[in-house]
Amino acid sequence: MTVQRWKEISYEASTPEGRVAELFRELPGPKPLSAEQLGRIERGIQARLALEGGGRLPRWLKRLIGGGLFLGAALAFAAATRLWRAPARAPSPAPIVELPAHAPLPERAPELPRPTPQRAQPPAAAKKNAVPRQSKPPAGPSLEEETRLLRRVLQLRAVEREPVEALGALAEYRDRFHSPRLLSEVEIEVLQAELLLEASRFPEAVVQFDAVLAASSARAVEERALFGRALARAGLGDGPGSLEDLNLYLNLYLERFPAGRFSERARQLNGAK
Amino acid sequence: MPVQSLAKSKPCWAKVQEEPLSLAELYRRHVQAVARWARRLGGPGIEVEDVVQEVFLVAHRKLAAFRGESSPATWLYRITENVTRHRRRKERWRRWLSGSAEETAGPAPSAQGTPHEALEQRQRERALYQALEGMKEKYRRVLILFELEELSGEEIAELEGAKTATVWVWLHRARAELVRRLEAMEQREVGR
Repeated sequence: MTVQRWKEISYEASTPEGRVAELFRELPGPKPLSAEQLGRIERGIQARLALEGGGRLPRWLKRLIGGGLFLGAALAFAAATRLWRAPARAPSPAPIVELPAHAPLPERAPELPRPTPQRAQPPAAAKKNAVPRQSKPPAGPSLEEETRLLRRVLQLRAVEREPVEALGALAEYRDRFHSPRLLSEVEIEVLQAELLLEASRFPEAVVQFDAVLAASSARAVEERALFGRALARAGLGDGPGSLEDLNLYLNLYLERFPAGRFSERARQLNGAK
Repeated sequence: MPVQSLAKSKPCWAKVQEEPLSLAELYRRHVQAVARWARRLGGPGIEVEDVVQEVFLVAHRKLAAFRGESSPATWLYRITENVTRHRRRKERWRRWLSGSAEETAGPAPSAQGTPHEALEQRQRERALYQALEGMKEKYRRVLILFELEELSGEEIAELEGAKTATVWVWLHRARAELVRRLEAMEQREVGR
């Protein structure tokens, strides 16, 4: 069966189809990955697999561990459920309003559900006397809250130009979200380093950028960290030594990212020394 | 009909394999195709190396569950599509957070042609991806698969899990929307 390719249909250049086809035709085809790039990718995959322990354990052992974890989780869940239910069975400390023994029974409407002693209380009192929950399931912070806090960091940094306050907001974000969903841990680290740089806390920024570079091999992170560290080193002083240092780091950056996002600015800085 | 071929990388969309797959074999056969999909789906700002790395790590984790209902290429394409979508979302955050011009500058022009031509080509590419950015994901994907990957309607339908006629409708709407968006961008440029 021959596959009909719509691509083979020709359209007038004035039609949307023709115009769009023309636009896409002008795009350059992506270059295949070079041997150097492939090498970096392979090293990255191997490093991550080693870190995750993937492929090292035999499958039966992984299943055993997985089964054990599942069993453990199930037991933990069962225990938690018992704890959760336990207080409900315990006698309530709330005063029970009992009907007097001689109280006349209503003559009519016996079909209506008879109020229980607790229900006889006014709602407010019932609420007040309610048994406090002993174990509340941990409610994870919402994505909206994470978005809100991160937005605040951005606003302080990019709009209000307050890097010190942005650092405070970032610290709050980190305290609140130990497993953030919008940024990875290393991205937060690099953001913090950049904020330290913008706050002119150069020694701390250098240390932080060093830590980021040691922890991550992701290209985008490495690029930001290398360039940021060069600027932080420059901020440490205006002596010739510092400029040499800056030059060294900028060269390192340019060597690693000759066509990177900051390369043009790095060359300018290098030339302006 | 199973996806049999992809115009520019037929071996990648080879028939479903009977023998168990290894990560090394998947990588050897498909790494270049994954890089190309990542670049095309993600646009000029995407970190292709990182995406490729992530795709094969995900593939490694899911390999045991892969039953061969689709070809390995189809399976890898779907992983690439997911990883790229997540990356783009994160990239938007990153750009937003950094807020610097350098962050949005994109990669350097290619070595082919004069610097001026390369710059123009880069600007065209950026404008096109900028127009694609706000579109519905499925429209964006269909356009890229059809116009850049040169897939047939049947192949796109297979990948998207839709009917061929539906893909045709999406493509028609996507083109019209892209043209509208580009015209609006041109008008904004003129107005400046």
